[in-house]
Amino acid sequence: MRRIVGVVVLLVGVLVVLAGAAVMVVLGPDDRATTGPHRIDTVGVAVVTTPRAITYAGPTVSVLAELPDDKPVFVGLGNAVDVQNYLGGTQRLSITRVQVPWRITSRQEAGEPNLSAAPTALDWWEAQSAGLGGAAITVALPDEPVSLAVLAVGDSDLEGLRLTTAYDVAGGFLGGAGGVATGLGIGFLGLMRVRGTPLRRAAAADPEGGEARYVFVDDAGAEHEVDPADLDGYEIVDDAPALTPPPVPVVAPAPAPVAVDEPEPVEEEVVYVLVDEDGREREISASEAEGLEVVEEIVEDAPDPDDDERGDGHWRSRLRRALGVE
Amino acid sequence: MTGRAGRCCAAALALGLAVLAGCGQVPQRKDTAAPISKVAADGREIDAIYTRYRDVRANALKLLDPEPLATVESGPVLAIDAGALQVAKRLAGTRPVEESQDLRIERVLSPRLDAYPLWFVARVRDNVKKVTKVQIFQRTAATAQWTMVASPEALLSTTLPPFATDDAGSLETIEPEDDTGLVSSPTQAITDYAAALRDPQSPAAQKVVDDSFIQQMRQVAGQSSAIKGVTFTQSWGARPVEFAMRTQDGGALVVATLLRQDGYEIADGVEVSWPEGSAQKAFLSNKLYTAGLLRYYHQVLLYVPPEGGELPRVLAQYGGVVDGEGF
Repeated sequence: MRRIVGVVVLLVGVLVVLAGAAVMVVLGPDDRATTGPHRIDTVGVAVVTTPRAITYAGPTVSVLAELPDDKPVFVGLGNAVDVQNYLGGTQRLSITRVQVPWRITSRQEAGEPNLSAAPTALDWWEAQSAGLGGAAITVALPDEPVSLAVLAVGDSDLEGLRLTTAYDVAGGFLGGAGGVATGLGIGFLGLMRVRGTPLRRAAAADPEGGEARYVFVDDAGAEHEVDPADLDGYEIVDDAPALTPPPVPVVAPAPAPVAVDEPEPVEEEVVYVLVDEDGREREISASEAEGLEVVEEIVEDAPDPDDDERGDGHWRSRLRRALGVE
Repeated sequence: MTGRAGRCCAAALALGLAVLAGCGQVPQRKDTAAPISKVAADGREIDAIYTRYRDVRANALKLLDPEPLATVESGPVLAIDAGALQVAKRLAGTRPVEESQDLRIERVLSPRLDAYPLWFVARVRDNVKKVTKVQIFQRTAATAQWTMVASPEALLSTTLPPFATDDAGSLETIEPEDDTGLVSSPTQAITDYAAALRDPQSPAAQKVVDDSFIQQMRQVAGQSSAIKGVTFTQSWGARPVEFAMRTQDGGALVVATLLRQDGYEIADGVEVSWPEGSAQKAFLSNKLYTAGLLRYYHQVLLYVPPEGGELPRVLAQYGGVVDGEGF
């Protein structure tokens, strides 16, 4: 089950990476995807999108309309209510569907052969441009229904019309990069889930019950310590010696119960010292100390003579009892 | 690999999500079920439209020339203003014509419409005439100009019910035949009102308030009927309702145009002279010997109360002679 989840997460990560990379490739650093020029077969005076043809809002779109022989041409984007009222009675090529980057569905509609008014005289265009041989507009697609119109100006027509469109998505390239980074993150998580190499909980830091350490053993057998905060996704195998009663952190999947023995009491070393009337000390055995008054003296952090002799630099606690004589 | 890899994962995720969150506008798919419509005009357009209207109207008044008015007015209001200018021009030698204007927009509201004609309403304070005007501007086609088509006037002391708006701030409109929540539909209300003006004894007269406009019109008709040797007739009709707006109390304000026709039949051997400065003198011949006919437009702002409330009544009006003939 863990591996299946891991594979799914990994695939999601890969898909996100691919999608982000695709966005980066399509848009490029200038955040713009361009398509065209595409030839539009019409001999009329109007090419117009129907109100439902433009289905997206937000991106900035640039449209360049070109006609041969420097024929005058107009490009405009307006609210669909305005455009339909203006061109509804005109013979036109209606584009009923636009699929990005460029795939259109159109139909020819009957009507008057000429425009009812010059498009340049109208004040409701949200973006408009006119020119000889070509005209271009750049406009952010609004949320309201809009229609794009390419119109012949004067007595001209649109024969030989070619359209080039560009889609600007501000920050799109950076967004693609973000997608790649996100996908990589997800993919890594999935990969770790798939490999599922268990973590070993190492021995306690000290026999008196320090914090547990967690160690990841890689394929080569090398151990790498893992921060307890990063334990999610690891399988915990208890490998600690039975010296301390370990508070086992609950990590899914839960580790098998570990039998823990009570720690054996550490035998204390007792040294009996007889102090004579002159104040000199003499070490005596425990049997000799019986019947004498025992004055207990605890010596802490005193260097262990044995340790000193070993020279290993460790100190251990030592209990010392001093005997006094009245 | 473990600790470092985990931190790498977290860093990659955090970086990616931060970049995604901060990156540019993501294209949104439009709601294909949303109606295809538009707010008739936004504030910037309305400012430009009204400024142009004010300038052209001021120029027309100055020149006593109705021709420029045709570029900013149309329909009944153009007929009324052109008639007033015609009267003023014909009588200029006998009556000083001095009309100034100080028009200030108090509120403008646009409905959301799915087809032409587009229109919006402006409540304007006229500080010269001391009236509040409820003006309707209309654009009949995408290739036409915005023109004012109605301008009923109310005294400043008259309280106009506030217009209702939808969540987006667009003016709520009512279909002329829709009587939902109203004492009667806008069309029925104006039909009853015209019937009440035509005949105070008609059943329809009981369905509207006998307001000051009706009383004024009866008073004028009474004066004309009192002319000796003249048979006076008056008829009233209503043009189809085009503009009906919901009010916040659930009622409706209806801008409608009434047509009034005054007829004069002169008895044999009688001649009628009109007073100086009157519309009759401007439109009819100096003296009437046989018959005369004057046509008027009266634009009214008719309040139709909500169901269970009072009866419809006129709150504002603007009218005048638009045509006449006599011999």
